[in-house]
Formats: sequence, C-alpha cells, structure tokens
Amino acid sequence: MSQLSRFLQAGVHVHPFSDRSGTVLFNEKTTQMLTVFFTQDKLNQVLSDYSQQIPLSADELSMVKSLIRQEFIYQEPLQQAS
Amino acid sequence: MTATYDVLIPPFNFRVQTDIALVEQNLHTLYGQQVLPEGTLPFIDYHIAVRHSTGLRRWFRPQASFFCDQHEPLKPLHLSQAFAMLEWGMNWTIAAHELQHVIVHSGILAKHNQAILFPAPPGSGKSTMSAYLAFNGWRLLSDEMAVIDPETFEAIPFARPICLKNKSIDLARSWFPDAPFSTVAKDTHKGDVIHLSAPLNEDDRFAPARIKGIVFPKYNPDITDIQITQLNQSQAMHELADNAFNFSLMAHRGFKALTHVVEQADSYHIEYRDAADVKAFLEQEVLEYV
Amino acid sequence: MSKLGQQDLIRLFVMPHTALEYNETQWSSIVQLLRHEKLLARYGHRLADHHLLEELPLSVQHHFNNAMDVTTRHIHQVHHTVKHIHRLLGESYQMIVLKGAAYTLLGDAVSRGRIYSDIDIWVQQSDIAGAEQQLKLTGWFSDEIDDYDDRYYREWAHEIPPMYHGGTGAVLDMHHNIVPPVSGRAVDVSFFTQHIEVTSSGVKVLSLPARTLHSTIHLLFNEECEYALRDLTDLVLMFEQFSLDDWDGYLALAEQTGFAREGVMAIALCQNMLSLSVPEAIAKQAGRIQKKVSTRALVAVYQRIMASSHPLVANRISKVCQRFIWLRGHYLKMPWTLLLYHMMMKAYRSTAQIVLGRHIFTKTDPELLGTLKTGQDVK
Repeated sequence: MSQLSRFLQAGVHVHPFSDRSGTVLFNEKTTQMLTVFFTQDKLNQVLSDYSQQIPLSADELSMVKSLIRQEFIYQEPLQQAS
Repeated sequence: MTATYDVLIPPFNFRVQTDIALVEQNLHTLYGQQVLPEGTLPFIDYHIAVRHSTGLRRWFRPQASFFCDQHEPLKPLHLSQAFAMLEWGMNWTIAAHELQHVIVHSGILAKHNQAILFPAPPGSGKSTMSAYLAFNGWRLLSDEMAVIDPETFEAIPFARPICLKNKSIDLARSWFPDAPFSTVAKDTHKGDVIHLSAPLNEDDRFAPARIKGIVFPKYNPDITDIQITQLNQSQAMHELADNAFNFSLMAHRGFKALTHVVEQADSYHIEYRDAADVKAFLEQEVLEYV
Repeated sequence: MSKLGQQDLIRLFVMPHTALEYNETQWSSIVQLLRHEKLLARYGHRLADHHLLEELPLSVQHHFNNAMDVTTRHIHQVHHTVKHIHRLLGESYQMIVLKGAAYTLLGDAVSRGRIYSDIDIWVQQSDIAGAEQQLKLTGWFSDEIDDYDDRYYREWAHEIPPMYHGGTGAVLDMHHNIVPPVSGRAVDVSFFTQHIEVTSSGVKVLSLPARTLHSTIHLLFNEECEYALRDLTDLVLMFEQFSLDDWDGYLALAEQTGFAREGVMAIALCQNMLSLSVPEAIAKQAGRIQKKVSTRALVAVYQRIMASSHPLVANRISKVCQRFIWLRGHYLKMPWTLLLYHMMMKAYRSTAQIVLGRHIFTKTDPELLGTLKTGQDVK
C-alpha cells in the first residue's frame, strides 16, 4: 500500500502523468481538482516524511496542508488494512 | 405560421419548431438534407423551439424566445438574432442534459481520423481557424462542443455550423464565397455573428476520431512567425478541465476520460497570424501518417 | 397511435412491465413527459430494478441514464454540503434536514432518482437570524429579490429567501415551519423535536411518519402542484416502508397537527392511483374521514392534475383543476386581507410580464452558457 493511498479520502481519484510533470487529484464529492507538480513517488515520500514527523520544506508542507484543507487526504494516515 | 421539422444532427435527433421565417430559411440553408419533415425520425432526443416572444414584444422591438420543451433557459434576444439563438439553444440543451459523453467547450477537427481539440476563449480566432481547416481538407467534428466517448476516449462528430464573429465574417466570405452562410445576427453579446456550414464528406462524416493534439490557439496580428509552446500534461489537464462543461457532473468518468485524452495527445499553446501556418504545423508535426 | 397521457405514466409506475408495449416513437413522448415531471431518473431506476431498462431501445436508455447519472452525482454533493452546514450550525442550533436532502442522507427508496435543487433545513424561528449570519460568514449569500418578495418571505412565509453558496452553487432553503404561520396552521415545535431520527452521518432528520406527513402537506396544502405525480410517488415509496406502528404514528401525527384530512387524502390517492395496499385497520380508520363528500371531491380533483400540465397531455378539465388547487392553496394559506393583496400584487406582476415579456423581473443577465459548469440547471 503506497503512502498516498493510506492518506486518501474516499472518492478521491489520482492520476500521475506519464511525462512526470505532476500528479492530479480529483475529489468527486467536492468536484475539486488539484494538481501537485510532484511525481507520485515524490508525493509518497513527502507524505511518508510527514507521517513520521520528519521536517518538510516550506513548499512541501504547504502542499500537504492544502491537500488536507481541501479534503483530498486525511490529517492522519488510515490504519493499515488487515 | 409555425413550421416543425425533424433535424438529424448525429448523435442526436432534434425536433425544431419555429414561427419565424428567418429561422426556417437559415435552417434549410445550413442543415440542408438534414432537415426532414416532422415525424420522419422515429425517436426525438430533444424538442426545441424558437418563437416570437409574446406580449408587446411581438410588435415593439420584437424578440425571439428559445424553448427546450416547456423550459425557457435563455433570455430572449432581438428577432434578427433568432437563428443564432437556435444554435446557442442547441448548445445549451446538449450541455445541460448529456452525461453519457464528456463535453468540452472546444472546436474539434480531424484529418485521417486523427483529431485536434481547440479549446479557446472567444476572441482567440478559434472559429476562423476551424473554418480555414474545414475548407482545406480537414473534417469539422464541431466548432463549439467536442463530444468525447468516456469509454473509448474518442471524439464523436457533432457537426454544427461554425459561428464566426465580427471581422472574421468578411474574411470567411472572401475565402469561401460559395459556402452556405446564415444571415448576420447583429449586436449579439458576441458582437455580429454569422453561421457557416462546413463541407461534409459522406464517407467519414459519422466516424469517431482519436484525439492526437490539444491546441490552445491565439490569433496575434502583430507577429510574423507562428510561435509554439509545448505544454506539459499537468498544464494541459487544467486548461482542458476548465473548458469541460459537464466535468463535475461526469465525476470520475469525466476525470478518467480527460486524463486519457491528455495522455494520448500532445498539447500546445500557439500564437499565429496565418491559419495556414497552424495547418502546416499540425499536418507535419502533430498528426501521424500511416 | 393513441394519445399518450397520465394513465400511461401511472401504469408504467405500477406495472413496469408495460414498458415493453411501447414503440420508439411513443417512448419519445414518454421521455419528454417524464423529464417534464422530473420523474425520468426515478422511472429509470424502477425499470432497471425490474431488468427492463436494458430491454428498451438504446436511444431511450440513453436519456434514462443521463437523468440517473445526474441524481447519482448529486448524492456526493448533498452529503458534502450537508456536512458543511451541519458543522457550521449543528453545535449552536437544533437543525433538521428536510425533504429531498433528508431522503438522500438516508439513502432509502425515495432517494433513488429523486431530483431536487435545494437543500431544505429547519431551525427554530428564533435561531433563523443567527444561523443566517453564521452562513453568510462562510460563503453563503442571498440573491437580490424585489421588496415584495422579501416582505412575503420575512413576514408571512415559513422560510427565508434561498441562500446560495458562492463556491459550489448549492442552494439552501432555511425553514422554521412546514407551513406559513400566517395560515394559522403552523405546526408546533414539538413536531420537529419529538419525531426525529439521526442518520449515520450524525445529522437529524424527521422520523419516517413525520417525513411522510411533511411530504403529504407539501402536496396537498400548496398552491403549486407542478410536480404532483413526483410528489405522489414520493408518498407511495414512503408508505411502502411503513410498519404497522408507522401507520398509527402517521395518522396520529396528522390528527395532532390538524392535517387529518390531508393525511387520509394522501392514502386514498396512493390507493386509487398507485395501487398502494394499506393494512385493514388503517384503511377502515381512513375510510371514516374519507367518506365526506368534500374530501372525495378533492381527491378526485387531485387525481385529475397528476402529470397533466404538459401540452402533450393537458386538457380543459386538468387546467380547471389546477386553477382550483391554486386558489385553494392560497385560500388555505392566507388570511383574507393578505390574500387580496398577494393576488393583486401577483396579478399586477403577471400583467406586467404579459405586456413586457417574461424577463422584466429578472435583474441579472446570466451569460449564455454561464451557469452550466455548476450544473445548476439540472433541477
């Protein structure tokens, strides 16, 4: 299970672009779409650091905060599915 | 006198009713063989009408009203704009009801069944370019509404007349003097507008096309050479979603379809002065020849 | 081909298998009628449940699918918006979600394919101003309306002018009663505090009998009956969920709130038109009230107006009946002096509209395709 999917809210779809220009998230509940200019690997890394409370750069932190605020991801990762 | 026709505009069947002679006349000019006697088509998708507005407006600064069945979604316009109103009303009807296709506010033309989307705001010269291409070997799928199948990600033709504005009216008339033009609707919210039917090729007029390119055009009379900027997929996705009418209602099907389109197409921002430069670029660098 | 009408739509609801009897051209009109009655999605689900949708011509399926998709997508947005409103108001005020949005939150039979454009909530009358203020701080605003309409809402109605959310385009109707207090028939606050249930998301809605009574009053105590068949199918789908206790609760509540006549009329209409079967004891109890000539006559009037407004099916009798119900609705709701003023004002407005064209009272000029992105037009 990737870091990203542990954080994703229900009804959020993710597409990492093949040209590695970014990753787009779509929340079908709010119909908001958001692009982060990170590859999915990078996004996973940032979220993993965030959940382990490893300090993030200002940009990274503000991206995580936006994702939370706009209801794409949860504040805390979900429990690993058993 | 009220006239009623079945109008075949694949993939939809319309029943069009009007008591305005100008509308009837333009309907025949622009849709030709697609205008059929009432009752010819077994199934009607949408019942629409353009009629004289009632009350004083029948005589004093007369207006035309558009109806989608019993519903009047648009504000009435001056009588001389009645045919343009029918065209915009059809756009409204499709955009307000259709959720089985992704609908993008965009011109779309194809050559060798490879399509290019031209999503662009008014004033970008998009329609003039559509007209140029449509009369120079390309096939017009639509001037204003690209209809995309969410399963195959292919564009489906919904061929409607091209809507030209202001200065491009004279330009188009000089380019294609014999083409079927509507009468001019003066002083609409888009300025003076005219509708023009593109030539139809019986062989492939209903054929879907794979989307090979997404081009955001901008007409700029002050440059000499065409200027081309390639967009990355993230940028293209956002620009495209901005132009998708029913994106939020299509929910994840719409999202999936647009990401696929962006993945399978190359995207460009183009500034041009001469539509022939755009054509050359598309044919030489974007389309694949088999 | 014989003329299609009300009977066809009713038969199709009660006996979905009759769907297979129509040809494509007849379906053309049925789709048109159902769309007009806001029933396309509900019938689509019903046909799909009976495995009949896939038997129909593709052109017909297409329109049912469009309509069902709109309502399905709507579910997410309603959950989301209600969550937002509840977070905002739920702690400070008693708040109940009513009508369509409540059905959606519960996800029961009535919710499937139910089309509505507004989210309706109830708060106590004394809380209205505070709640309105609270909402305005977070992106909700009220539309400009003319002074007459504003006064109508503030002084005489049971709700305040609709509020819109700037970002999502959602529409919120805030009520403090289910009928206008000016009618003298407003229900007691206990109706909203004692007959509630809590949804899985922690939001309060009326109990099944109370929801059904609210829907009854909406259909039978209103001057507008535009979507009467939709409202009647709402009722039958709720009645079909009733336990014996719910039946008793419904009739008792109707009696307590002074809507006993409307209560039995709703049962009679569902029995007569949509083949609802009712427990014997309840039928007996209802039958006593229903015996009155005036009630039976009124039931007959309502039967005429179900799904009869479209020009394809309208006739002289249905128009007379609609006019009668409009008058009755006003008569029920307004004290006489007010009625005169209200009708005069409306009459002036409609005269002005006939003379000057319909759009004289619209203040803003929406851009031609401007409202489409938010999907507001799919009411």
